[in-house]
Amino acid sequence: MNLRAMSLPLWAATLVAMVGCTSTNDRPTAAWVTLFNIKDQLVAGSAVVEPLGLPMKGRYRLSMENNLSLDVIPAFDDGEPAAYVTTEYWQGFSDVWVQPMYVMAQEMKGVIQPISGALPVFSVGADSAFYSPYWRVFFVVVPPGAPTPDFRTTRAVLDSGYPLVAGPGRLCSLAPSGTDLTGQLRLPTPVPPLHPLLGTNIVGGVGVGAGWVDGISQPVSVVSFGDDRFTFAANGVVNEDPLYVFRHQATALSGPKLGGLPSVGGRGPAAQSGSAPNNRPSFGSYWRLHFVDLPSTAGVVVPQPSTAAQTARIATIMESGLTAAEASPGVQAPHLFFRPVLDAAACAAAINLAFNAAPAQPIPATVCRFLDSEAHIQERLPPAKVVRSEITATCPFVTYQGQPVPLLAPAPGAPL
Amino acid sequence: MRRRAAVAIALLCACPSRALWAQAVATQTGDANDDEPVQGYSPTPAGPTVVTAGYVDVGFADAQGNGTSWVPGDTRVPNDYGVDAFAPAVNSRGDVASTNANAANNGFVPRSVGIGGRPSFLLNTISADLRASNANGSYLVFVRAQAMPRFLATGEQTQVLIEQAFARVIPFASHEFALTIGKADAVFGIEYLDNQATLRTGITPSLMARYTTGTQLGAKAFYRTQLPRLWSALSINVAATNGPTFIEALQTQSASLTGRPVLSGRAGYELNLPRFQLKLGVSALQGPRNDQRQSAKGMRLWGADARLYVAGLSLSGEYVDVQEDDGDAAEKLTPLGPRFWASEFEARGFWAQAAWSIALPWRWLERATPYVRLGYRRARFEGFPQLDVARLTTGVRFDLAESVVVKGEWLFNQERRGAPNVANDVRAISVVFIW
Repeated sequence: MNLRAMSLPLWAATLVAMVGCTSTNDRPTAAWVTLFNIKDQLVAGSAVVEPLGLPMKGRYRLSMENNLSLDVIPAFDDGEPAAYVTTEYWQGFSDVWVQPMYVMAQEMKGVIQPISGALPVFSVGADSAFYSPYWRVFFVVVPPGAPTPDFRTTRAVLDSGYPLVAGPGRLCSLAPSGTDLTGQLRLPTPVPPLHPLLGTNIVGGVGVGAGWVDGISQPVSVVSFGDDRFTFAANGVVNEDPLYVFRHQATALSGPKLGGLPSVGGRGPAAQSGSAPNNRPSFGSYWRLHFVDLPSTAGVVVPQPSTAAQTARIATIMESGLTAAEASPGVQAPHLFFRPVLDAAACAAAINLAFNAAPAQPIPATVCRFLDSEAHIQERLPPAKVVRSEITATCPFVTYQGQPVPLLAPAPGAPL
Repeated sequence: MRRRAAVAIALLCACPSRALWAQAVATQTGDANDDEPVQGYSPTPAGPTVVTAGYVDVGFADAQGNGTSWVPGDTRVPNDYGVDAFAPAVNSRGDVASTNANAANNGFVPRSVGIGGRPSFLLNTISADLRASNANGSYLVFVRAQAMPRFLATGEQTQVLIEQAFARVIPFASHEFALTIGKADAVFGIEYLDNQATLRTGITPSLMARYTTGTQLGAKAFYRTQLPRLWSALSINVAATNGPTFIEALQTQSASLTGRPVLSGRAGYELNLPRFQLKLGVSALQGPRNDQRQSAKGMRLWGADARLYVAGLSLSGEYVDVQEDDGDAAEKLTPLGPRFWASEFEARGFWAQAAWSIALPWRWLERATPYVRLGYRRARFEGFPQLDVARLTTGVRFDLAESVVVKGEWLFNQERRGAPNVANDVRAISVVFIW
């Protein structure tokens, strides 16, 4: 190119082009995914949760009425069966904050009572990067004799001048209308679904309600998990805990692949070990995914499948390249089935041997090296096999310590 | 001459000829006001000149409430998405009486003078200019440094800002064409013309000033052609810069974070009759938002402005529309420090001002200019409610003797939608000593 012969406009265009080509995008793409996004993706036929690449299968489905349905996801926590549902994801977020929600209330004999029928006001919508399902309740104390307010915005609440009394943290996910747990029956008393692998009635229910969202003219549906299901720091940042998600380690032919094994809950620095009054853990609703890379020999011991959920789960595990070793017919050891283990085939053989002996023998711990707790994972795997991810998620327990997590109403008569 | 230019742009020379252009550019005040490059005729200096100038803006402000737009009990995160933090402005820089330091903001807050709701004297701005030009004015170097002493929650702090630093070349004596490289005034709209306390009729900027009055680092070009038969002129002003026209507290100009320039420009029409002037303009800006690193995340502004001068009466107004894309990385890089997320944002609004410049017969009090301005702003961050705020500003400006300007202003804010109602009106006085 003859630079001297270039005209001024050409110089300018060249300069702009050169400047424009120097852009560098070295930051990971950050995103948050809500139940609204997930439903939209399902309706569009997506098989994975975009942009995270996590499979929809086993997590979400569309009901016959085209409503979003949350599958109960099996897990283990501290060696005991657990289960959860997932309502939100974040990728590339260092922090998630609690946001205020306003609940209309009255003070009666020194006790604050929520006003039945008055919808709460949520201060941030799901399309904001600052949305989170972790709300700090502020009771709007309506003076005696005043009519029940119809507040629909934060502005209306604050302009009222009514006293605000800080309440508990409440876990409520804004959701498309009709969203519910898969299999939960809406009877006068909700009947929650069965545990997907154990087939037992150890799943707690969720509350479904509605509230006003600042800036939205119609009430928005809400899926509620109740109060005191998470903790947060003084600056409002929600405390996170590690959730161990197993995957088949990368091979020469493919990258790591999610294994379909039940995940394992851990404890973050702020979690109070065993703090689960009335079997409602105050930790473990905001997880950071830690991927655990396993060899092909790892997997689970499974029974002869008796339910469609079990059949589907076994297929997923085997498709990932991990092992689903079947126990002999007649082995009655549900507490050992679907429990992540390092050498699944050897463990299955040991279980068969032990249960077929007369009398039955204990399972040798050196053979069945289970990965069913944070302690076991840290003890039995080198640290390099555990990869802290950029993904965090809202995954509240609905089963904990093998028992349902009850949905306690925040207070008698509360709308959620 | 500076003082006269500040009093009323209406008094600027009408329909300058091309011959006057080259003479006049050598005697400009150096305010980089390309839209008004000719501010009166003066003989061409005999040789190169180096001139220093400046001003001291001493203020007094009394804001209602706690000096902010926040009400107790508002614990939303971030705390700057649900209120108009810029409402309680106290000086020509748009600094506010106070901001809410008790909760996390996301970088959409102005500078603060930290006085809360307590009346206080202020050193609003100490400004010093250095201007050097060659004999015929075709080459000019200009630097403006400003200091703003403040007492904030973190202690005594004096921000020193290089407001402008540029070189300007006028390659053709016979054409109104100027090239500017460096940090200079924006080219968008008209409110940047009033950035300095010496030039602004009132004290505080409009509700839309945060989007249009920042200085920009880059290159710009100005061209104007006269249409003598029509007593008219057409002008165009374009710029390629590191960042947008937002004020310095919102987006930086010191570096391009994306590697791509922000392009902006204004096209103007002037009707310059002896006793009547009308100036119209349309402006636009497009480019990456310079508070994150993704060049694909853009921002767009457009606006329209009008000014009318007749018999000492000045009517002016501007409409501005702002759109910013949502970021896709959990970072927001602001001059106030790193923040969390560059949220999708939209705003639109206008201001309209009437000022009447009354010449007075006394040497010690040459001119009085009562004025009133109305503004409206509608804005929304994604996921947060739409905020509608209005502002009525009224006051009077006195030009005393040669080098002193005294202004008094009442600023009434009204939260009309979205933001909680809060007492955040301001009374302010500004005394500007020019040297």
